[in-house]
Amino acid sequence: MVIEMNQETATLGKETPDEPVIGRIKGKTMIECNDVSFSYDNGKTNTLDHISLDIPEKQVTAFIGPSGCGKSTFLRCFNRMNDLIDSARITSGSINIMGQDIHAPEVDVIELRKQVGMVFQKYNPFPKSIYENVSYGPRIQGVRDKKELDAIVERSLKGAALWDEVKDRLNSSAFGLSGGQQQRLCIARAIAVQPHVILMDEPCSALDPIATAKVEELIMELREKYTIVIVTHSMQQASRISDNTAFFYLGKLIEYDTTKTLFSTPSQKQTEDYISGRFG
Amino acid sequence: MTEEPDTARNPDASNPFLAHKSSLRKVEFFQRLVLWSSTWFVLLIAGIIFGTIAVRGVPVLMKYGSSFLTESPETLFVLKVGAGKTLQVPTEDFSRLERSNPQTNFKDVQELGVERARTSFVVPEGNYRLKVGLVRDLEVVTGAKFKFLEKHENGEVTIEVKKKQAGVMDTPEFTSFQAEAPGVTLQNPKPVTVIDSRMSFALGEKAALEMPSSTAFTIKKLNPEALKDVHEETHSYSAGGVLGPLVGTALLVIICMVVALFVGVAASVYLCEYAKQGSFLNIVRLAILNLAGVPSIVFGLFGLMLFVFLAPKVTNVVAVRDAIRVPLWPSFSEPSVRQQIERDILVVKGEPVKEAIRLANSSRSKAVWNGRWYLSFEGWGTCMLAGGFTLAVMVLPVIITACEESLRAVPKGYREASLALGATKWESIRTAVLPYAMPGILTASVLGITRVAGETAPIMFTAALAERSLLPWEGINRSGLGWLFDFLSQSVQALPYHIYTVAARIPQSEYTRPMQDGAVLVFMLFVMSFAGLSVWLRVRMRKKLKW
Repeated sequence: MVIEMNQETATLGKETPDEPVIGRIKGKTMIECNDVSFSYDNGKTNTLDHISLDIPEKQVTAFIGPSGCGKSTFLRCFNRMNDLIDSARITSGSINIMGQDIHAPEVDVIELRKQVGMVFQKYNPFPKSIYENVSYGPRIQGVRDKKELDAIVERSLKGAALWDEVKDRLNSSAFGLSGGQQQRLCIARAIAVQPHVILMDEPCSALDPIATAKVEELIMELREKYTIVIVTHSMQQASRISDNTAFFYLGKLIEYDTTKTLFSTPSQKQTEDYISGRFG
Repeated sequence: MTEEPDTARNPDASNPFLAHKSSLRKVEFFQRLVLWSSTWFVLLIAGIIFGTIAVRGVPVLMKYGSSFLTESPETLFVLKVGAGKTLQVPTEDFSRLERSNPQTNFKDVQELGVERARTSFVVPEGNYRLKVGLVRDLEVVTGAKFKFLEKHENGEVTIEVKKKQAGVMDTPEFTSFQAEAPGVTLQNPKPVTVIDSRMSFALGEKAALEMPSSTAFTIKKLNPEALKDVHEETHSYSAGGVLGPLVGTALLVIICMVVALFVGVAASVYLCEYAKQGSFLNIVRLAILNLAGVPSIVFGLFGLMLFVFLAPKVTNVVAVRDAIRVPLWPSFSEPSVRQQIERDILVVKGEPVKEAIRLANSSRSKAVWNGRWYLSFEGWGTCMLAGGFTLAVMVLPVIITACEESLRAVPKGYREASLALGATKWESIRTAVLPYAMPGILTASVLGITRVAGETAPIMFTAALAERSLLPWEGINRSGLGWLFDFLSQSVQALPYHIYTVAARIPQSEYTRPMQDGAVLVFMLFVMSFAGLSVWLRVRMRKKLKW
């Protein structure tokens, strides 16, 4: 008994392997990360440690791992939201989206964010009407024609599976919707600008199970047109909706494989321990 | 249990929840008493202040009616008129006399129609030379504006009458005009009779008639014999109303609001959203904090030094004073002769500015044009712009603090959401942050501005006049942008300064007291309506924004 436990703890305390395993991911690459390290305090400590993975297009990729392992941080690197923090920076490696290094000096971060959209953990529609929320993005980009905006709003709300519920109250306040509807509104707002990638940072953690189910269904539909990267705390969710899953621990990428393989036959012991609930 | 405990006779017997009389309970009781009395103290003081103002001010407003708000302060004349003498006054002046003297017994009141002899005439085309004052009179009676051709040494000017003008004057004035301006031959003099509506009355017994200075002037002109040796008293600022000061305060508040809101919101957006944490930020916050502690009279002196004497203006007509001047582009249009006379400008061409000023000094002009535009740091003089800016600086700390609080209250999620949709930083602030911070900003700002509206010391040095007969927008002779500049360089009367003048700077009498009380009440109503405005604004905006 004692020896067995020691063996288990010994496994947990073991050094993570230097080369994370990249398994049978198929598909054209949308996001390519090469040896990326990231720090919140100007390089003194690394929050992310030499991560390399490729995210294929038009598939759902999930990032799982215990709290504080850096998955949200990594996600926010893709649309450079971490630039808002003064002392945060990439300390090594590069991130390429559609073949272009996003930290190159000629890259305009505004354009980047138009093509890499984000949905946040706590849904945050603006205190405006539903119509104004969804048309915010296109308006910022200079679309002024009312007919065009109407078409964009309808398309986005239909794409977010919200149109039937709100089509006759587009001018009412967004705060009048339920939590799940508000999150779907945020998704509609994100897809109104037609990005290539949608980043979702724990989109269902503030929602009840039924709303969660609706949003998950939506994500499966969106997969046909957008590349989706989702950070989630729930392994069941990852296994339900994602095509590929990456497991992070303490800032390092432990394993990255197709969901089926990772959840049935993980190649790393740590992955197996996490999935079976021994820690995290 | 065998027996029911007898709680009626022995209440302590079995009730486990009885209160214990302890010292903590006594403290609790007294603490509550202290809190309650403090609140009531505030209420009492507020009641005393508002009550006194209302009790003393309302009778004044009742007595004067709306004329208190529509007339400017005037000197009060008290004429001690004997019984029996018949006097006549224009009809509208009579109603004022009646209103101001409710106790007086007016006898034999009759309506009269008095013929006034007037002469109509025509001013033929041509150039004429006459004194400037007479030109003004001519312009008033013909309603025309004549071009000034040339100014002469003895205060005369040559004017050009392009088209013949018709006019009409009272006959005595017509005769004296012809005598004083022999160079102008007024043609076709035709007598015109006009009936003035007058009231004649007599007094039942000897009375002291109160009237504003304009009425006093008229009544003495119309009744020279009857009022030849009558005893008169004058009391400054004791007649009329508070229109001039009210308008002046309103203008100062508007200028202050525009400047303070713009600078304050801009600065706090920068401090909140753009500036990096560090020593710069700390210095700025320290500076703002200290600015809030500067005494108001120091602000007045600072405003005097900075805005009245040193502020820059872009002008081609330079004041005759030493100041730093940066030459700009050349000026091709000389000021017209009319402008030269009205603004006392000397025109010299081509001289460097120092020489030009020396020449203007020796010819005792107030300003000089030398063919160039300058960025001149000669100050704006005492004007509403200087006063408004000084008040704005006073209220800046309040606005910046309120603005920062409101900006911080807007959830970070809105900024992130809008940035993630591809908005630039300023777009994100403008569309997703500022609109929701606005209710808080406006409420606090309006309250802060209401406070500075009542400051006397800052505007005493920089903007305020005690006496002024025209309203600030009257009597300006330029047009377009020039009108705006002239308008903004007017001094104004101000309500707090007026109250100070009436209460402290002139000898007190039974006549000055009501004026003071009325002015204080009007000011309180002004302040309260501003506070009410801020509440209404906040409610409206909250309802619209719903968050």
